[in-house]
Amino acid sequence: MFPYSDPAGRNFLGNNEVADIFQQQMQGFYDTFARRVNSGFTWLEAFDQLSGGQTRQEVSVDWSSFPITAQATDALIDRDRFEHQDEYVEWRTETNGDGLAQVTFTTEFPEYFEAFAALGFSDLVNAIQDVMPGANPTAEELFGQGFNPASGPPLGRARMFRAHLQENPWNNGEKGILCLTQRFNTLNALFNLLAACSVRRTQGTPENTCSLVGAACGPARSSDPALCAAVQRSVRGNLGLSLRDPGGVRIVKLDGVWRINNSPIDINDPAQNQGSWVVSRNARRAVLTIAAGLTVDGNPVRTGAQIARKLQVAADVLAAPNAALPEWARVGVESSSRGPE
Amino acid sequence: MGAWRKFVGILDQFRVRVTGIIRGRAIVVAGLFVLVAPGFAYAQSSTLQFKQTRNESQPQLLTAAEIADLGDPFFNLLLKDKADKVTLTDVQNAIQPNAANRHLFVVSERIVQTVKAGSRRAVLTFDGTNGGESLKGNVMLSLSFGPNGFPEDSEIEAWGWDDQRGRYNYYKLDSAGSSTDAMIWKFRGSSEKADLQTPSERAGTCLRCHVVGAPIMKELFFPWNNWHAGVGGSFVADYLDRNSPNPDKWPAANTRPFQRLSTADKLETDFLIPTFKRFNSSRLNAALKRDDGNAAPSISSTGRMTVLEGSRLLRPLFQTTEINLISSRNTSGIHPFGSAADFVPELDMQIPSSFFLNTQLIAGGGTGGLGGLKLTDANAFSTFAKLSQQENKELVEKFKLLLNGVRGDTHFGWFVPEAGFVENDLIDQALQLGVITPHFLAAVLAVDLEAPVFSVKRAELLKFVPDQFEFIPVGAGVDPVTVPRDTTKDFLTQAVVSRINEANPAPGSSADEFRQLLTSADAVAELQKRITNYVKRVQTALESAGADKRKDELERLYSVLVERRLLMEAHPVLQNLDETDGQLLFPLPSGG
Repeated sequence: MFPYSDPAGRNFLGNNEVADIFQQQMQGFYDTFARRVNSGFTWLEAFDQLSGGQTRQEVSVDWSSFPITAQATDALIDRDRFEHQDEYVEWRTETNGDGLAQVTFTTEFPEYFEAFAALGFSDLVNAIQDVMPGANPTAEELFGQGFNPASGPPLGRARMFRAHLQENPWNNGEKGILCLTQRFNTLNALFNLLAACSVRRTQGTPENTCSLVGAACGPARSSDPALCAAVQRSVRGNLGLSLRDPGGVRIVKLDGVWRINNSPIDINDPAQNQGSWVVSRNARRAVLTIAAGLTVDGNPVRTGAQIARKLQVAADVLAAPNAALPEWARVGVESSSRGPE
Repeated sequence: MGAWRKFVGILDQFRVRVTGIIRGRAIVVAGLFVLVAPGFAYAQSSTLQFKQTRNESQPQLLTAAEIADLGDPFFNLLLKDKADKVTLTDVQNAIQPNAANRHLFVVSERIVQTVKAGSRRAVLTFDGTNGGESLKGNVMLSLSFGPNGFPEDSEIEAWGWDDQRGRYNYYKLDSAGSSTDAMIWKFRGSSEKADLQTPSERAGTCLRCHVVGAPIMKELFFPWNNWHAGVGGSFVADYLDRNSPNPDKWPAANTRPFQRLSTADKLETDFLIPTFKRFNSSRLNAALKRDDGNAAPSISSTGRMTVLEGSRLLRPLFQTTEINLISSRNTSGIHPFGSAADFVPELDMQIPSSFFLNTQLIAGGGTGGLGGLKLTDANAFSTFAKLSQQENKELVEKFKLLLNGVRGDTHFGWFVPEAGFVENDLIDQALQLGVITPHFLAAVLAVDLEAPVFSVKRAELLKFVPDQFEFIPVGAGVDPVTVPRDTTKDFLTQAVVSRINEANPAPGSSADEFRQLLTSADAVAELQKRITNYVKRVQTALESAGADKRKDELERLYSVLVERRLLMEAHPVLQNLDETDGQLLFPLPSGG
């Protein structure tokens, strides 16, 4: 099995059992979607076995975190996270007497925490405390009323944890934010999108492939068509591709002109930003602290949506000529392929 | 004469060879040329020496006072003492030696054409600092390149933002004024009072296109038709991207500047929107009364501020002074440079909401992030206003539209002028400060609601706006739409109503309608009502009134689309934004 790494860069907190569970999950995703018929999406292992001296290319596809499909004000986008925040980025706002105090963004998928949940309640608590030091979640908060994590099976714990994410105060904004929860922001959706858009089309342009793959791609969003067009362009260039390890979406940077007390700062430079913008967990999490006098493009920071407009995130895809891939990874052999050993 | 030309040719070759290597010798040679050349000619020195007011006029020497009035980073880093740097490499090194802090963007009406021919326009931006100058959004260059990249002797247009004086300075590197085609930097003017210029005053100047003095990115918003982009299914010019799998790239893609190839979304969000907001902050600030010697606008003892140039400041709310170009987020499939397989008859094309009304000011939000009136129903058009590629193709044929001389459409369809963001932002800043109330803004926007640009009805209302009026500033951090309306403190509305009353307009006229809106209890509610009816009417016609009605409605909408393109092409100033002579920017009626 491919040694899928910890997406948060935390080495699974040194817990090999969690690593095993997580890696099994990831293997399931790659196996399922690499077998999509006629899709250029394939297993990661193939990129370590290229022939003809070919090397793999890395294609980063980035987009803005702002949910352009939301027909709502910025304040509503902040408030109704599970309704509107659908670009593989979600955020939590915190206010104080002066207004907005802090915005926490996450691009982490629940599968990571599910692996801890599967192992046990205390392991999950450890993982949550690794994200939010000082957190003291109860079993009821994490799994819902009436569920005893000590007696439930591993899969049951993982499922209950996931099913309860919108009510979990350590995730729904009440006490914190843990991972992506909006219904479209799933790892399955990301894989499905890449696999569906990697079927070479003879009709339409790469840009409108998104509209041709049914529910796998939301053509009105920023992220989906960007990813879809990029991979369709790759397969039209006879490339095979896969989602780079660690799979997921990473925070790239904040755009715009930022100032503190009217002095320009490079908000992305920790040496300059006075702690206003802290990116952590392998660029899966970031916190903007609204210091007095902080402005973006000359405006005071009032909402998380305002920041989301400026926040770039990306997914990384590996690509290599289809002909250089091992035979079992090439387009057209999906149903009969033995897959990687 | 032949011998002289040969001699000059040798000198020119020599100059080109040594310029980047031994600066002193280059100057000597150029100086020698000044002595031997017949007639009047200029040489480039290390300090900017020249200004040129119009393209056709001779460059003139800048006075010491004029030079002292230049303080933007482009001048400070390059033209102050390195104006003899005339190659792109030297110019970029002077502005930002760290190549990682450079960004290259590409635009062309031929962007979708991959054949290795013709030229593209590049915009170069910078971030980070150099020599104590903050570069982000403060300097930009624009120049052309061909399949092989940038020629060493490129003409370069440049601007720098002078934060102290609150203005853009425009410069150009070309051979004007040189009888040897030597490249010389010139100061070409500033953005001061650009909005007041007449069409004839603009002729041959940078303000011909920089209408209000701000930088231009016509296709500012998604999907950035004509730009190299990529986000959300926008177009990627992969033939320019060294990292793309396209096997048939332009050689330019592998040249050094293209290592920093970036995408239009970043030019929009990272550079231009901040730039526009800062420019407008400066414009708004300049329109306010201040006490002598006080940099900040003055506030009276009763908490009032005063606008001194009301008609100038609010003109963009009534008249179309600037535009952007917006399109469907979906491709038309019938671009003349595309392939037949691009056309997928059943694919939908969404009509942009800003085609129907001024969504930026009415709904706010969006990628431009304006506050606006927060009437988000204005965005409802995006949920149903669609047509198929087949329907679009039939409309292109029915209206006999040509693009590049043949029947076709832009890459992303429904390409049309929309209200200019730079002006909408100015009005939004006026709203946020309290210069205009939500009631006043709604009243203006409700007049001829369905014509967000080029409205004759709204344009004629500007005459009722006084130059001087007072207002109560909205507190910092307070959203003006949450402030309860106090009619006794809406001084602008009072003044405008008074002026309309004096004019005694005919019942049913635009002025009369405007007065009714202003004197209504709540113009925002009236605007909301009109939007609801507008949305319902169009939705019914497109979705539930039958195939014939849908066809009629699409034809009606398309005729509005074509009319707006023609209005822009006929506009005495905005027509200059079409740099293709009506051939390749818009699909236009045959002979149109």
